[in-house]
Formats: sequence, C-alpha cells, structure tokens
Amino acid sequence: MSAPVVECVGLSKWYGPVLGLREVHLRIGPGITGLLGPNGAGKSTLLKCMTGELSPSRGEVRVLGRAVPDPDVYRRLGYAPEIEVFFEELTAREFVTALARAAGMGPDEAASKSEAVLKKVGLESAMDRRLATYSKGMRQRTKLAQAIVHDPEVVLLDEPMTGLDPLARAQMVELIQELGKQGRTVVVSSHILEEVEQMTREIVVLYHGQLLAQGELHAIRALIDRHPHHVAVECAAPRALAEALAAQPYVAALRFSGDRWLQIETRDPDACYGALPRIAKEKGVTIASLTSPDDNLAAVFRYLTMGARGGQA
Amino acid sequence: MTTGTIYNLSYRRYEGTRLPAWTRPLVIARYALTTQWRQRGVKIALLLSLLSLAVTAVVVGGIWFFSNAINENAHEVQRAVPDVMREANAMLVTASLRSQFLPSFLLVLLCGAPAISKDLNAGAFQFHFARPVGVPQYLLGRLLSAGGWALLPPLVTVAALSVERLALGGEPLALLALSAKAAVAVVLRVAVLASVALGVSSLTRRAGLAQALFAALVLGTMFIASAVASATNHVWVAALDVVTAPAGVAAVLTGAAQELHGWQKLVPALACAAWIAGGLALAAQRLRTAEVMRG
Repeated sequence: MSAPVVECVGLSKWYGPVLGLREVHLRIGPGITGLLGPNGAGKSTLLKCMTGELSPSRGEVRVLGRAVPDPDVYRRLGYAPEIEVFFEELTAREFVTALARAAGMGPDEAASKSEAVLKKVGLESAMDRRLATYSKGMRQRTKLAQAIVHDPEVVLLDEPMTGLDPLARAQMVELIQELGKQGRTVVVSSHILEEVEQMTREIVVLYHGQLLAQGELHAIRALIDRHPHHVAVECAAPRALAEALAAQPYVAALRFSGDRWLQIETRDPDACYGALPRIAKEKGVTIASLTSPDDNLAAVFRYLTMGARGGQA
Repeated sequence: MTTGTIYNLSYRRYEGTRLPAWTRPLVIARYALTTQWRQRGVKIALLLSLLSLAVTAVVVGGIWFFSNAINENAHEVQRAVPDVMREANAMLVTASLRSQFLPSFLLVLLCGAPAISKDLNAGAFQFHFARPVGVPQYLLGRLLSAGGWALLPPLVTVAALSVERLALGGEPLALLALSAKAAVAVVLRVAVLASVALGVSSLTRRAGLAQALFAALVLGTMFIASAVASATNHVWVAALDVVTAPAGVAAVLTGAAQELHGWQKLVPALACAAWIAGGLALAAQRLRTAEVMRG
C-alpha cells in the first residue's frame, strides 16, 4: 500500500477501567473500507479517534499524514456520527449550511453546496422541513449530506445504514460507492455484514477493542487455515464425483445435500478448484454450478470471532 | 485472487473561499439564535421585555419631566439642585438594568442554561469538533447565543431611554457618556448570566435540570449575599452575587456607589470577572472531557 490516508499506530483507548481499543495498528488507503465488528467492538471509538474527538490513551492517529486533532485535517475530513438526535429546530438546509460554514465555507458557496448535496442524497423535496419531522432514514441522509458538503477527501461514516428501508439502503450504498470510486477514502462502520459486503471487499474487523483482521476479504479468508473451505457443486451425479474426489489429499470431507448437491470441505481451495474440472471431465459429470458458501463476509467474520473466542462457536 | 478497483478520480478538493477561524463562533451563534427564535418561550420573554420597556419609559419619562421642572424652579431662586439632576440622569443606567432583569434572566434561562446540556445529550459535539472548530470557538459561539436574545431588551431600553432623555432636555455629550456606561453595565450583566449558565449547563445532560440549577444559583446567591451583607454590615458582600455585581459596576461607573469605599469599589468588577471566568472555565473543562462523560 502507498502512503496510507488514515494510519493508527499502537492506538489504545480506555474509558476509565473500560477498554475501548487496544494496540490497534491500522493503515487505510483510498477507496471504501468496511469497519466491522459486533456492538461494543470499538468501531465508533476508532472513528472518534480518527476525527480527533477522542484523544487516544496511547498511540497515535494520523490522517492525511498529520496527527489529529489538526484544523487542516478537519477541512478535508467529513464525519457522519451514529447519533440520531440533533439540531431539531433547524431545517436540513439550515443544518447542512451551518456545518458547511463551520468548515469555513463562505455563505453563498455553503448555501449552493448544501442545496446540491441535499438533492444528491434525495432530500430535494424535504430540505426545508425541520429536522424534528424527519424519519430515521431522512436523518441518515442528512448526516451523509453534512459529511460531504465541504468536499472532504476522507469520509468517515458510523453505521450509515441504520434505520433505512431497503430502497433507501440501496441508494445509500450507491452514494457511498460513488464516493469511493471518486478516489476518496471512505471508512464505513457497520455490524451488519451484508451491508458492508455490498459496498466493499476491503475490511477491518474489530473485536472487543482489538484489531482482528484487515485486508481484502478473500485474502483474509485464505489466511484462516483452521477452518476448511466449503465448495458446493451442483451436478447430475454427485456420488460419482465424490468417489473420485475422496482419494484427493486436499479433500477433508464430503457431504451430500439432496440429489444434485455435493459439499466439499477442503484445506487447499486453489488445488480443489484447479482439479474439479479435470475430475468432472474424467467421470463424465457436467457441473451445473460451483459456489463457495463460506467465501463471504459472514463466514469470515464468524470464523474470525470464533478464533478470538478460543474456537468456541 | 483479489478484486481490483478503477477509480474515476472525479473528486476535486474544495479550493473555494475559506473564512478565517474567528468567524466560526459567529456561525455557531447565528444558527443557535435561529433555533432559539423558534421557541415560543423566547418570543414571550421578548414580548414581556417590550411591556417592561413601555412601563419604564412612561415612569422614567415622568420622573425626568418633574426633575426638569424642579431644576428650573431652583434656578429661578438661584439655588441649583445638582443631586436631583445627577440622580435623574443615573436613572438611565439603573432603569435599563432593573426593568429588563426579568426578561434577560428568562431569556438566558431559556437559551443559555440548556445550551451545552442539549449538545451533550444529542452528542452534537461530534458535528462541531469534526470540523475546524475548537473548544474556545465553540464556547464563544455558545456564549454569544446564550446571551444574544437576552442582550436585546436592555440594549433597546438603553437606546430608547437615551432618546427620551434627549427629548426631555438632556445634554447630548453627558447623555452619550451615560448611555455608554449603561451599555457596558447591561452587556456585563448578560455576560455574567450567560457565562454562569454555560458553566451550569455543562454539568448535566438534562436541560431541565440545568435550568433549575441555574435559576437556583442566580436567585440563591442573590439572597445569600444580601442576607450576609445585612447581617455583617459589610455592604460590599451584597455586590458579590450574579445579579448585583453588574449593578454594582454600574453604580461605581455612575458615581452612585456611595456606600462602597476604597478597595470595596473594585469588588463588583472583580466579582463579575470571577463569575465570567469561573463559568467559562468550568464549561471548557467539561467540554474537554465531554466524550468520557458519554461513556
């Protein structure tokens, strides 16, 4: 990775006797990074350390090459916190304009940018209504609007999907993906794996305040050796295929599921994927589909957290 | 195998106007004042202040009219009555302070006392402090908004009474000096009230509790200081509380603090400074640990 946009070095944070983060070393580059972890894992604490709102108990956070808190960083950083109650008496337009001006924008630019960004997040018809009348989903979109109104290079979003209906969720994913594709650095925290998986394959996993894994989803999956990979094969003659596979050294177990499905457990998925077409051809079996049920975020997350708990599922 | 990403690099950093850091408190204050204006209680308190202004203008105008008449009669018998005129003029300051105390107090109670509590409760610091806004700038913005509406009634009263006095034969230059002193006194009173309100507000996330604590502190110190002053015969003690200290400064400025002697004349100003510094220092300290308070 080239020079990281966000870097945490030995970051620890305690709330009195309660551990928030412990010795987190992290390097995040451009694009979207999913910050994952169950509730209480330290995701919000990490984001607040990145914004400088929380001072680390130990270690350092550098954003855009500078240690936070730093006013210059704040001009280039957008943050949407998790909270839902804010400035209820203001309209969305006033709220976003006020925060654009707090970022240093002039009044005219702040007004025009606010209008544009509120239209972008789909609040065109409601931007002059007071925030007190907003639904949870509208508040999420307002928070995203205020986070990007000043064109920041780094965007930190804390649980941005909470409370959104499926349609709004899809729109939010699209917006976040657009930010990532523009070359900005976007860090999105969530405890809902499917949400993150829709947006990015680049993940950071926190668990009980500790960094459990970081990197590309497949690469992390490949590193988890203690759990065999699952490969599901759909074909007309799964038993014939199983017969040939049973003798292979990379196959740990075979299971049948219905008349057409064969589940393969393997500790060497590359060898398995490489050999399957050849074996199928030899046996005259036509493979209808080939999937990997655990090559997804949920499985990776489950394996990682099981490992952190000492293998207890 | 890792997936690749092609960035379209359409992002362009904002290169437009960047307003200087000193404008941040004004931005915070402006939007807070807008929010406060939408509260019914603020409008009612401002209406109350208008009523108070009207009554004060009539009463003080009447006193000035009769003072003029007494003074003219005194001239006729070659015996000036300077005390009557000085006291009449000093009414510009005392009337501005006294007539608008209740509206100002109510406005600080409504706007200032819950200000930080509400932000603490909502976690609004996350919006402010993720921007180039520091604790001092936030606090100054909140101070301006805590006292903004409360300052309006006494300042309007000073202006209105000055015009009235001018119309009733006041000397323009002397009146200008007196108006300036009155303005200083009312600004000081609102600054003291607002600073104390912010300090109290930073202690709790419950806006109602902050308001109750503020009211108790303001009224409580007033009664205690007054009682101690009476019991001990130390008049200067009465000038220590939140309400009387600014009035004491006004009395010193207009030469009406005849019961204070020597170093005692410094007591009201020192008390004001202590209330302002104490309130703001407490709020600043609490803001720096605000997130820890949230747990």
